[in-house]
Amino acid sequence: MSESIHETKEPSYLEVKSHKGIWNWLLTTDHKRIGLMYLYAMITFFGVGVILGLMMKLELIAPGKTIMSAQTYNSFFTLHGIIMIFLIVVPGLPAVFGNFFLPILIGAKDVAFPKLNLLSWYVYMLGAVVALSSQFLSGGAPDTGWTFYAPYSFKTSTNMLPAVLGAFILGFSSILTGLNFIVTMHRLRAKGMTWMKMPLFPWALYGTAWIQLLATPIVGITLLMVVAERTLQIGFFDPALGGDPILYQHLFWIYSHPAVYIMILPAMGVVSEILPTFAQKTIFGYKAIVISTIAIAFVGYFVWGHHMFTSGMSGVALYIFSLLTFLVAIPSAIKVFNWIATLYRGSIRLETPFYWAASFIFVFMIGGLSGLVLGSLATDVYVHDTHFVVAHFHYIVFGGVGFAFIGAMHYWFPKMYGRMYDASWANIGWLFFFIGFNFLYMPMFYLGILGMPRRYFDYVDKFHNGNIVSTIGSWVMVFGLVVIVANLIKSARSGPLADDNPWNGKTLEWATSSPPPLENFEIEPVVTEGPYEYK
Amino acid sequence: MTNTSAHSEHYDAQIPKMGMWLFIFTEMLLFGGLFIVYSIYRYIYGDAFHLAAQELNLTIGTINSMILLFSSTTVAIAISSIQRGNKKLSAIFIIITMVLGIAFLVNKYFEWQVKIGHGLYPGSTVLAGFGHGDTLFFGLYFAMTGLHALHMIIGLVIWGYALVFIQTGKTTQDRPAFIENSGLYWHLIDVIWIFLFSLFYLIT
Amino acid sequence: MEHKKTHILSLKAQISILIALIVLTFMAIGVTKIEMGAYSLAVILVIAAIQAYIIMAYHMHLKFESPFFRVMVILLFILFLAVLFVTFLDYIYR
Repeated sequence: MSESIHETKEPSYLEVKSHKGIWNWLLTTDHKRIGLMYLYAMITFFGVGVILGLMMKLELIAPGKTIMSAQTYNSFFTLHGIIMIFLIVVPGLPAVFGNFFLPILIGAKDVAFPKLNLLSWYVYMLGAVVALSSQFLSGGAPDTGWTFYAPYSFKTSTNMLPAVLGAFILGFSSILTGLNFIVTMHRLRAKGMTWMKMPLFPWALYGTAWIQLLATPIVGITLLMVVAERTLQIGFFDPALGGDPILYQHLFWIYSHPAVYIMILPAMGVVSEILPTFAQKTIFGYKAIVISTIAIAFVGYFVWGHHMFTSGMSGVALYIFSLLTFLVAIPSAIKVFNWIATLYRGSIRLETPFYWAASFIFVFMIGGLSGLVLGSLATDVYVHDTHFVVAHFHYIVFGGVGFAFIGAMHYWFPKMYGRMYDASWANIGWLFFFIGFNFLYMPMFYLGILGMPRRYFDYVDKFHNGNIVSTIGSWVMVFGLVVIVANLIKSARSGPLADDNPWNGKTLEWATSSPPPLENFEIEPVVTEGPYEYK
Repeated sequence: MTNTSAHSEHYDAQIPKMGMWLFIFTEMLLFGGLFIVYSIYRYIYGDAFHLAAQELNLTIGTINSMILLFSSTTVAIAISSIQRGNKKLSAIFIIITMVLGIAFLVNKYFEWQVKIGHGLYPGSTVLAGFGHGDTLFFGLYFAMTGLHALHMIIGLVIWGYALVFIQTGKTTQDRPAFIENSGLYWHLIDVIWIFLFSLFYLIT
Repeated sequence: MEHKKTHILSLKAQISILIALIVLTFMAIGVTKIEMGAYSLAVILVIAAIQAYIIMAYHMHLKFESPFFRVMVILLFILFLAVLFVTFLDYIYR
């Protein structure tokens, strides 16, 4: 490490300027800059999504109309869902940290198709603009929820076409990213990096990329069918023309359930990177984690029916889907045990990224176990479409991806910007976020069991207490979020310069300078040992 | 097996090929979604599909099948020509392929026009009178052959680019990836057509 | 291993592939003329699958590529059929 400091360094990727001004970003094919462009776009969209969520919680602070009408509430939860799912959590970790760190982690100079990578970003932005335009065109904001369920999605007079086409275009971006990553991992690994010496974040991205590639086309064609349904009255899902609305649900969830694994696998990958570094210990059961990653990707493809237990499927299908759902819990649990075993007798350093990774395990376990309640037939009928479901998927999706995302941000921040953030503010932000998060979503489990349905802007009096706690929780959480973001923005501009390897990590990104040079490594790395060989 | 990351210094022919195949997988599943819908509705409305299929013109369908099979062969010859270094022959066979592709589309156009003339199009009252099975059959027919035709048009554009690239020397014997990948795309269209032909025209 | 020369089929091979594909098409059409009930769909799909196999193996060069491509194509078809099967579990028993 000390050698590289004294040598004359190559300029970092942020210092290389091949174009003028903003074009350095908009025309770049550097995977690191593209990753940052995704990051900035996503932070912006995430801000909008958070504000929508805050407003919905404010509406629910008291029964009856508080700040918005029922129709506004409908369009808010629809837009909140579209933004959070299609713009943030599905592309999130792969597009930001996958782009930035995948080539570095496998010792490559860039992804296999750098230009295609830039194209994916533009396709993503196009999809975002098209999807968000649905809010501002005449006709009214979409009110179907992010699932676009038929037959309402082609009966409603609101702007469904831009929303659906936007989701289609975003899917295309996701496919291109997945394709790029798979080829990169197959062809561009550094000398000596065999598959079984590849770090776990790339492994998670590999599983994710295959799901992106193999599931997204199904929702693509399904959304096109909804478009055809609205414009040409083809009748695929219209009972009046002989179509079957449940078939829409099948096709939609054939993608959208695997999409949950598109979200959570990279999050698990991030945690598998952070924990060994902060325990200074080899990850426990590397192979088990790899195999469970692939198993989740594969089995996760066949559990979509558990979103449809009350839709009117056949009994046989119900049993099969319930069984498969329980199966997919096994590899997830294997990972949790592996992480805990990694921490056991490790020399743990209590730094901010570690707090995020540890709290990830906490919220992921609550989310995962409540998922089993929804996966078993009898209990699902009872809590289906209640706030219990809302709590469950926020624990998994927001708790999982959100905690991993912010954790990754704090873990890799010194590498990305070459500067260090203020650790005490970061920890304060985490504390408020974590406490607020649990106050926000934990009462929803309770409300759901009492029978409060989701997607209603009003409720009866007996749900009042839980909702007050939840709304106050949302304020605490957002306060934490503001602290975190402000701290990171300030540190990116003026934080103290960071070392090349501030956490004493062993993976390849810590072997290059902070921030890395344009082609990532001054000397092409040669890998001789596994990724987490401590001591 | 291990490849150095130096993709700029040395050309790895596997990279574009692998990228194309992965893209083909997504295309297959895009149509796969429609094939799932087709299977479900054929299962539910088997008899109506049987009767509705009588309305399709087997002769035109067969002619189009032949056109595509021939064009797949001309594509294969165009590719082997460029691999042997014969740019001119390659260009000629690409042009023949494009002519065959256009012939397919013209044929398809007239076939659609006849159907629409008979009121057999989605949303028509005539079709609604026939019942649910026929409505869905023709809805699927137009959606699937339409999406297929769209891919043909995209394929033709790609062949146009291929001709330019041969002309400008971007595609050569050493770097035939663009033509090889265009060929893969065209063959994919052929494979999909074979299944469309079997499922729409060959219902007894 | 990836640097071995690409396999180029001879013109004669190309023509025989074309003839095989045409013959199979007419076989499929012939099958529709014979009354076989539910089996005719199966026979037609088998013939279509053989045609698809020929095109993918020879025209699309799968036969000469590294095993990765072949394995993935096979897995893709298995995946598709499995999804179709699971979907049908709903419709058959509804």
